[in-house]
Amino acid sequence: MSDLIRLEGINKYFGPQHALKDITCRVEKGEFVSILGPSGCGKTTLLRVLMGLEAPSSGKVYHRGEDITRQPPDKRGFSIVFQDYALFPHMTLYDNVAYGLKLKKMPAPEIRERVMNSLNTLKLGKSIDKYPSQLSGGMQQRAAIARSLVLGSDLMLLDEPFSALDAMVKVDLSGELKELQRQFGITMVMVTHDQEEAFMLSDRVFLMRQGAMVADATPRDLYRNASGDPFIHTFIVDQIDKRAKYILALNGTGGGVS
Amino acid sequence: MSRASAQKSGRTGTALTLTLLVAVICVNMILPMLTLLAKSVDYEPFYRGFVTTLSSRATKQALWNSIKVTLLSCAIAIGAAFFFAYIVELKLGDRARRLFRFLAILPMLVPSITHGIVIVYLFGKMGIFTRFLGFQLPIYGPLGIVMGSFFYAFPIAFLVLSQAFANLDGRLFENAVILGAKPLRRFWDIVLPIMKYAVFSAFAVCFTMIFTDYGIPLSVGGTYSILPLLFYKNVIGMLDFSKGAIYSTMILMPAILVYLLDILYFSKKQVSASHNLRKVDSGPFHLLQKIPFALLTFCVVLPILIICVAPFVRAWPYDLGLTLRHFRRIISVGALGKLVGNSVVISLLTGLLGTVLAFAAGYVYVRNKNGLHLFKKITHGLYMVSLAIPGLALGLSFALFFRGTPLYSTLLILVIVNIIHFFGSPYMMVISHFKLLNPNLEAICRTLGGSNFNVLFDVIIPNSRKMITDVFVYFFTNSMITISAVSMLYNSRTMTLALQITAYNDQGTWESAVAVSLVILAINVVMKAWQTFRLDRMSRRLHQGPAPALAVDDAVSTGIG
Repeated sequence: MSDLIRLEGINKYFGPQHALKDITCRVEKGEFVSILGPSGCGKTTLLRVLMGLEAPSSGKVYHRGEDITRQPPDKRGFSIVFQDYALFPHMTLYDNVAYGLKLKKMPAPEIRERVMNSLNTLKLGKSIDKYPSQLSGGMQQRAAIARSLVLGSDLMLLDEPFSALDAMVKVDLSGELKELQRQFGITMVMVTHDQEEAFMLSDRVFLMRQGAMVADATPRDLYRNASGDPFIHTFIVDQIDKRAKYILALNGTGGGVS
Repeated sequence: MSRASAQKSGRTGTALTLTLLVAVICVNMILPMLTLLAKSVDYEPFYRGFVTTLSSRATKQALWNSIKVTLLSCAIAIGAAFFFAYIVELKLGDRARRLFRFLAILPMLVPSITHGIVIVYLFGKMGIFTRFLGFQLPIYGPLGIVMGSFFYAFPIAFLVLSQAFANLDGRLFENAVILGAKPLRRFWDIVLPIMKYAVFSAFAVCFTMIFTDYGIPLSVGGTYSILPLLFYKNVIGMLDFSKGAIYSTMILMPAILVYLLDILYFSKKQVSASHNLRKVDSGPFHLLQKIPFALLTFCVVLPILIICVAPFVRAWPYDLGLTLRHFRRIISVGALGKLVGNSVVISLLTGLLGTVLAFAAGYVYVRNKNGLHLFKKITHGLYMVSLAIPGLALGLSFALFFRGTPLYSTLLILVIVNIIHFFGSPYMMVISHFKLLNPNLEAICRTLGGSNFNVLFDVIIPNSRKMITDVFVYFFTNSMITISAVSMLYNSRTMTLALQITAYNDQGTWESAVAVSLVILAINVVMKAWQTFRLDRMSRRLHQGPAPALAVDDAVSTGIG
């Protein structure tokens, strides 16, 4: 089996609140998967369970067939990108990217080579001595991706990575991320509330609603076959159609905007 | 045993350690205070002591006097501080603002009793103003206490209000302008409603400070009877601990009442700082504002000038020649070296231990999400209430509780009592810091393979340097000037600089008292300068805009000397 990650019957309670309801799914090696849903649907909690920052109330998490449910985050070897970048404000870009390798006690010359490679890949080679507060949001998110990339881990988890960025930066950077993913064959799991983003980048979409997973399908299947479900229809099909209409209207090829 | 469970037990271990730290503070606070209450009811069979003491004419008079004097001083100090903060924050340029903020907080770097002595230097029989005016103001009594309390409370009121003015959002004014509001209307409709909560906070702090202070009445109170003085005379003079316990409970109650009101009602409605606020454009700095501002500045700086000049004058005010005689005397006869040693050691230890404890307690409160809810609420409430406990009451409770233990006659008990006494404000500073520090930084460090050690030393501490500096300096400067709690616990070996001022005041050797005040001022100014220097360097390193104001960040640090 080429499953990289498998979740089985994950439940999570916060007090009386049932945040994750019996979630079972799998992620294949080299896939780009989006966890999509409206705010408060539990998608970030699911990601945090994957990261090991949150322990599930019941259920199992498997990595390459091994049970890692109770394994702490630092032993899982996944890399993470947060919406708010979470760059260490007191470190330069270089030190931010190098920090994880230093913790792994890698020899200095090797650290330097890998850090520079990673920073150059994300077009940050000229800013290595700058502090995060001196950079734009887009550059900070590039740095956060570089910090993840440099670890060479087989799974990258992204928590709403583009939500805080300008529209243009968002489109450019998400394209680059997809390119990185293909080039290095990294498996990526991204949480997002943005349908367009999920559809553009993903091989597969996990659609969530009120703590439950309501669909697991390719973007194409989700769009074409799910119109029977009223939630999927309003949340996916309507939204995509509206945007499509705008674009068609702008091009002068479609009708008016409804 | 798997790695996972090892990790889990590691986490439980951390939680336990922190819980223990917090518990230490609780034990040091709760048990002594209970002893105090117990003592106050064992005077005569059950509560009778209270009733007799309360119904005595002397007590009623003192209580009424205390309330009058405190309310009047609060009104004047807060009124003046409001105007001063308004001008400093909204009318001055960056450089001038920093200078005037610094001047405004200088008076809080000396003990309260010094302000009383300064009043004597200004308006006493030999005072400058007395000679200038040709007659003497009746300063020994309510007038002197109100004047001294003004100097004492002004800096604190200024800190609270200037922070609130600095956080005013200019966009509100722009909206009002667009809606056609005239300047007076804008002040009335926008500034006042937003500021009223800050004014009440300032009132709560100033009320507690003045109501519980006995340093100023000790030097200029004369025969005017107020509660803390009555307490002081009964405990220090007649060693009547039971009566002292009753008085300190009486002092404690109004302070706690005012504070609870502030915590429960007002502070929740305080407008919190918004991230992208626009500076308020309040118009030009009129001559009509400049004149009172200059006068007020002169008033506020006056005590500091006196403290800097008086110790070098041969015989105030007859012979104004300069001399080092007074310093020579306090060095040789007064054992100044030992006093400086004691004060600095106590303040450093209070700073170090207090910072560690406040850091741990605040971190647990903000970050610990697994259970302990009830425990967290109780300790949090206790820390908040600790802001209102008068030093005298705390000192007496320690004396009662620890008497006879090996701890009793050591420097360490002074350190512990200081930590508890000043704990509330630093704890609040730690909490507001951790609420703003991105928790994902800690999460990232863990996923990168960092241990608890790495998270603490590579992530949390480097990003908390400013807060740690502020907290440390707060503990340090307050320990340098405090005379209340420690006055119940010192002995000849553990005497401090500030306590020596009280002794010189009793002997009537004013020159020596002012000279010692100057030493305290100098040490505290050095500390503040170090803080400013560190904060400047940090902000330059991180390139986050202009340097922060001189330590006015202790705005939350609305402390009680």
